Amino acid sequence: MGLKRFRFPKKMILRVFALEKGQPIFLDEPLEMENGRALRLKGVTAEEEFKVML
Amino acid sequence: MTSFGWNPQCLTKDGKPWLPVMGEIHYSRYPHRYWREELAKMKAGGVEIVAIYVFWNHHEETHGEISWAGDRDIRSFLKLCQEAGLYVFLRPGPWCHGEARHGGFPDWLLEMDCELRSNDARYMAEVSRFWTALYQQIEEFLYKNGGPIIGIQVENEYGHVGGGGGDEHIRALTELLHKIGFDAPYMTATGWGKACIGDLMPVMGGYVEAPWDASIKELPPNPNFVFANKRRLAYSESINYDPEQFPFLLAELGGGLQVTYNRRPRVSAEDTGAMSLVRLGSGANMLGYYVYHGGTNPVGKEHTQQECREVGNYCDLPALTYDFQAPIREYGQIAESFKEIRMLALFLKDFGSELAEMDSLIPSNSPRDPGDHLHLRTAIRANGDAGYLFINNYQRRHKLADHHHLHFRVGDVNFPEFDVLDGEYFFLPFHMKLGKQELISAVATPLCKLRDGYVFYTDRDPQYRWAGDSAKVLTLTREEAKNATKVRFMDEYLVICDQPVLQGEEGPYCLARRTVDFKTYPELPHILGSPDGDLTAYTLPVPASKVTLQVKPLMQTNYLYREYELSLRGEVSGTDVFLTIDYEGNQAELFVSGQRSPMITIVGNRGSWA
Repeated sequence: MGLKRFRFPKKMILRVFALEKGQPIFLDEPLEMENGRALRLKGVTAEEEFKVML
Repeated sequence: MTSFGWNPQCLTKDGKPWLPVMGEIHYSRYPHRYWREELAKMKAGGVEIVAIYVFWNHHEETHGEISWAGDRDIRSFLKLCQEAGLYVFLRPGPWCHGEARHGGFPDWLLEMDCELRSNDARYMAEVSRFWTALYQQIEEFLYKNGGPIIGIQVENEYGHVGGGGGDEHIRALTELLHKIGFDAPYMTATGWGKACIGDLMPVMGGYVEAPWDASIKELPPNPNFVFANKRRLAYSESINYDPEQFPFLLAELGGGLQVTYNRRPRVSAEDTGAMSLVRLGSGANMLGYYVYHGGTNPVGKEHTQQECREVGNYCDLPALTYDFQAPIREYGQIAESFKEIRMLALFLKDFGSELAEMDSLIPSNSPRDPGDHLHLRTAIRANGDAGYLFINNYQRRHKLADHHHLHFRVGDVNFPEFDVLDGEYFFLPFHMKLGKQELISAVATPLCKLRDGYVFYTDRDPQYRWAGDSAKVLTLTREEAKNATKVRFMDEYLVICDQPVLQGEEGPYCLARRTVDFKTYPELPHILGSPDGDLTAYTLPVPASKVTLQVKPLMQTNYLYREYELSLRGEVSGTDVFLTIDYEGNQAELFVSGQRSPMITIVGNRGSWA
């Protein structure tokens, strides 16, 4: 997601909700469950975009 | 003034066959301050016509208080389309769907004592009042007044998804539009699923999956990957009109897909590319993508504006994000599907007029069953002895058989032997006129004209066979073609770059997140490059980013979710900063300054989502 829309906030709170085993949801690929649920943040990166004239 | 028309085969522009690419964006789902740059991206993707829904509830949430301000300023949006040289198909509803709350109907309308989507006088009076207000905003942009609006779609999926008034209701709405003053060369209605078209021109659709389906199991193989004559597609067995009377136009070819709460398919670039190619081979004479550009639902005064079961709608959709996995994503990111469509758009811009006149022929041995994994899917579009052989060996989420040592004969043309492997889809020319030269056949796909020559692409030996002299041809790999775009410096150039390249008023530029490695044809006069076969390679640096991100897990107080604090540090000197959040779970939300912000909601899927 792009941050310019939010004027590049310095602080943000990310909330990731658990997927519980057996929830009535179709996914293309099943998630790895731990103790009956999937809830993991594997990484967050920020990339700056620049306008470069050719 | 450009003239527009149509006949049972195709659209016409200035009397010539016309096969345009149309892309949908919802202005009220995108910040107005970025409309100009997003329209420029759409144009760079080959879009000639911009389609827009006018969601009634985005404009008149409170009865009698209609807003045309900010992101609802359709007049400014249309002006920008006109300035960008883009035509417009207006979709004013009154019922739209578009995964909007009540399909775009304001809540107050549902509370009125009238029969919605019918000729009930009370309903029609409200429609008339809203459309009259809309007309005051858009009048100057109608084609008849010199503006870009060349098409108007009346209602949506009427008789297929709700609506019991039959053709008479479509006729009544059309009459009302005309009475107010709306008019356009193309007056259309959606035609799939036995929808009622009144006396209008039908437009069709097709999606690679069905997230609206109540099932939470794998669906049967999708039928949009087999060639089928004209409209006899997935929905076409139940069309409500004579297909011989109208051109085969697509207004809702899935540029991606929305996710619903219970069904969250991921759409690949190949899904979109193969489906588009199959529809072209099946005779489509307009490629209209829904949606081409993702967006974000506005938040209403009383509630969020997404389709939801709580208020009686069919599906549960994310409250804010309407990313749609579209060719241009929710925050203006260019997706890989953008490139797949651009390859076809480049071709259609230069050769679409000839293709539009070509009938589609499906060989009897080409399978109709999308579950057929063994037999190769083929179609031919031809006019006289000239045409294209379409081949598809791609079926979403299925492995198809490889085919070796194929010999195709089309009319008097024998193609050289080649293989077609699982996942491939392409088309090949025969008796193709290239200026004064004639290409008898090639194992290469035409991409575009460039100056006095032609650009083709293939990963095989192209084996061009000419009748007499050869034309000037540049041959690219498929990967190069996917990254190719035409730009203008003093003259026309082909630029090949895996990052987005756009045409600005001051010249072509790249929206770069890393070093810009690109190739051109011919060589640029103002930068020193190095020869790379027929191409010239260049490298341009990007400024060093000072932006860093720190991620700190917050104290876990809740079993249902985890929270993290994201700290963005350093001065931003670029055009944007993109977060890529790689997570596994049900869904995620991002809070900015305490506000709930649009967030990634391709939820619970493996892999990263930017």
